[in-house]
Amino acid sequence: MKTLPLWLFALAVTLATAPAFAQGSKFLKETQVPLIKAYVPHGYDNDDSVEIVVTGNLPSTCYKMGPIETVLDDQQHIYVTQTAYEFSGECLKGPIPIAQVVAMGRLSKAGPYEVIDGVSQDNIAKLVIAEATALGHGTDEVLYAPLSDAYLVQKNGKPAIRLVGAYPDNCLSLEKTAVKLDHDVMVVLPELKQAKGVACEKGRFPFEEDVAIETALPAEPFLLHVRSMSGASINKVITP
Amino acid sequence: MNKSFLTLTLLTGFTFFTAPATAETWPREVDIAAESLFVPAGFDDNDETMVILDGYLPSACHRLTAPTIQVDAASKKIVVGARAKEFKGVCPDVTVPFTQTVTLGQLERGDYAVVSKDGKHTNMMQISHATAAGPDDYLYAMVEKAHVIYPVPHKWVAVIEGRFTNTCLGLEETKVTVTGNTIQVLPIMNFVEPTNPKVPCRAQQRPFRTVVELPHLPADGRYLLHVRSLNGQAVNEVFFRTTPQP
Repeated sequence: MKTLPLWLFALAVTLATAPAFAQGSKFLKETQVPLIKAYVPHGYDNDDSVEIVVTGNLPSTCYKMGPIETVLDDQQHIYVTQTAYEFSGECLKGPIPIAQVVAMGRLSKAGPYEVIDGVSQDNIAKLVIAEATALGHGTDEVLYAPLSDAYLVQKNGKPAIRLVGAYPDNCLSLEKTAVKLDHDVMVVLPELKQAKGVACEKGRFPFEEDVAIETALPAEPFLLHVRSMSGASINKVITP
Repeated sequence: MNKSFLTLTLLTGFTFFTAPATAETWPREVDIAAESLFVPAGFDDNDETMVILDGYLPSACHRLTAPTIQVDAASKKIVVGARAKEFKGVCPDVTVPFTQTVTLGQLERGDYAVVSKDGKHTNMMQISHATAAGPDDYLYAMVEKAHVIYPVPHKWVAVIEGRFTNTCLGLEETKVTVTGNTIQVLPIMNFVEPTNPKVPCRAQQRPFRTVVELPHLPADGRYLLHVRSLNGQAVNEVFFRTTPQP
């Protein structure tokens, strides 16, 4: 495919659709962009570090994502505000999709929360925090696989989730992986088992496992949320 | 003096004096020593800078929390450290690997020393002055995932996937540089002529996938694949380079 020089393309589009490009001298301004949707994995309790994923659009390639701010009020409203930096220069008009993981930390009060976009004040998601029941037994009721990545693949013509990571000893292995689709969030729980009565060798034992997805994939974008051992999770917005 | 009053006073006094030393609330927050500190190169003073901590939590009783960050602009020293909540209870005796991206925000230009909180790792981070009028020197592709595979002996490749947001966008070049244990990948976009001249460029989501051969990695160990993405974002993937067994 023949490639057009950037300046020629920019000139052509500028002449045709002048508002599509920001003009002027170099300039940096901090601004805020509205969020459209929040993906909220279910199953968090007040012992968990809560992570949600928010999505929106930047107006053009003249914008760069800035930090995200969260404020919790006493009505259990969580205001999430996405900042962005606006630049001058030759830029292609958007929308440019963005997705960002918001680490909210531990929400100590169980109950319902509302996630509100700090710009539009729209309610973009609901979040329910359950009362933790497993205190005294470590960080989770089950031991999840130590993952470095997880992503969708096609295996024998069918969708599957590839789990990539490394066991810290050779007694651990994947026992079962539950895949639950709840509206627009696919929650994946890769549970480990530990061999009993054998001497375990410490080290680094890489693994790559494919888990078949038995349910039909959503037609709309959805969040792939995979729990991992360290309490962190892997979150990816999948656009079919 | 009433004996029971004295006893109560003594007990209360004992409790007050000793309470801070003995009371322990669970879960508690603890510092975690990182095994690797990765510092990507190529940031400008208009970039959201980041470094990556990689290591192991001591047991399954630990859960990663927000990292500690201290930026001393005057001395150009940045100290970062991983933190975890430690839960009391019976947990499987396994070390838990973690990789944590620490966002430092925008930094003034200069040479910074990035130090792990335990002082074991120090890497330099050079922040250049942004010269381009736009957000970046290049227009990067929107990258959603990246991982490293070893398809044939002596060849490591990065598989990079993402989306174009316009029908006239394409991948022009993918620059790869290595600094220490960090591999920077810059997927640079360009504008391409429409296949059908009668159909103008328009906003449309199109997936792409590209495979990039990585340069020679001199030694076994942990490496960071740092892939720049559109609008100041990046995808970070830590992988383990091992010499294959014959």
